Amino acid sequence: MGENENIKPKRFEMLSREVLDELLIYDHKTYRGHCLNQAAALVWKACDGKTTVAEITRMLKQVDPSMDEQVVRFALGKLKKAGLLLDESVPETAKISRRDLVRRAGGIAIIAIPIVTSMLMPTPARAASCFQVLHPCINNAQCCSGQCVGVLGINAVCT
Amino acid sequence: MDKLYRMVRADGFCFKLFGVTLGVRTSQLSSISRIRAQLPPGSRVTAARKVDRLYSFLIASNPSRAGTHLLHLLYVNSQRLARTGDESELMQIFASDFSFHVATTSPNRLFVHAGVVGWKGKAIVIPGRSFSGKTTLVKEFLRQGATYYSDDFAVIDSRGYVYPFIKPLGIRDDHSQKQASVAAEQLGCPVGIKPLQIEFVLLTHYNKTARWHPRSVSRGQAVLNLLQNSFSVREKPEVALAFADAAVRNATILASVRGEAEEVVRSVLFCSIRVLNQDFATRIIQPQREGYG
Repeated sequence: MGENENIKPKRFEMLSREVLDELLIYDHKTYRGHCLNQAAALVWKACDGKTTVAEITRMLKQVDPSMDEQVVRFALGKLKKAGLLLDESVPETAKISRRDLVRRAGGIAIIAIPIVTSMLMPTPARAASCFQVLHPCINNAQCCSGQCVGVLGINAVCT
Repeated sequence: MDKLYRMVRADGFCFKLFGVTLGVRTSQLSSISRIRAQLPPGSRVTAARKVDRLYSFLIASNPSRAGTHLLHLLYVNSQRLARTGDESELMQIFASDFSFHVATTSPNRLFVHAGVVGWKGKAIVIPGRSFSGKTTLVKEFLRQGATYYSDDFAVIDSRGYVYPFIKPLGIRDDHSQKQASVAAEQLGCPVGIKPLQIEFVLLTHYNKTARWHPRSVSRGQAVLNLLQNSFSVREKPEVALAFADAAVRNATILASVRGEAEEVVRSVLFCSIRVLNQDFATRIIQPQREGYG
């Protein structure tokens, strides 16, 4: 705690876009898309490699008074889990669960609870209804042609 | 490639679809009309000299000797794509391959794996993976009078409008899970022509025991869901993000597991009529307010 709490985001490797009060982030390396709600987005934006947890909490309190250090640490934990922060820069995160945060807030400040949703973006073939010719397959139903040829499950391809 | 060129130089043409130029050449003049029948509405025949992908059809003519198998071949560039005795199967493989190629490489559209129908001048988009029940929902919407836009792709432009991509519905057999093609005309439903703004995005999948209890989802989550079903997000994430955001800007996003399709469709269409009425009321009230102000 204290000196080593300057948190660095992986910001330079990622693409981000604000959608209303949420923040969408796309990671080119892991092909993951992340949706940060307002609270999580505020914390992530405040992570610049220079600001400490205490300073982030102070800054965020001005925007949203319901933010405290527990919430910031909870958000950092979520961001770290999603791979949005440089690992070595993340301090000890909160041992508090989302349920505890909700209980503590008395259900009033649910908006202030940081939420990070992550999804793996598909390859084009994965996004398609069925596999094209020469794509590896396991059964006939997977192929557009309805024919999965080869030893099924091993080296089989759509024909 | 030269050998292939000598074999298939009977006739050919080029066509452009959503910014992608494709070439077709065939060894038999009579097959041209059957090949053209596979092109979806919106594709334009062009006189382009350069193509992104070239299809070569080697259509077998009648065998000179009895007992000889007729085998038709289809090449994409110089790679063999299909070898079959059934010409309709060859055409299906061609249609499936060029659709997939356009979906992944179109420079000015975002292709999302989704079912799309038109309802009262607005679009209803159902993104989802295979076997999530998109076609069943599309079919049910069509039964209730919706306009057919697509069974497989939501084609989205930079304004967030969705375009028709008409091809036969791929209805799966319950037992074998193999897709059978059913033309929209066979279902007796109108087919969409104009691009539409999206009014509803339904994030759902089928579960036999579930009931439809929709909850509203944030715009960010909806964008993420569209991207998760898109074809080009890994190659062009910036474009994909911008287009998907534009698509859901004015949409109502509903998420829930669903049971029977009829329940969902009735609920969404009822909701749609309410939204349309509200829109209509605001449009009428708005000028009066301004006048009084």
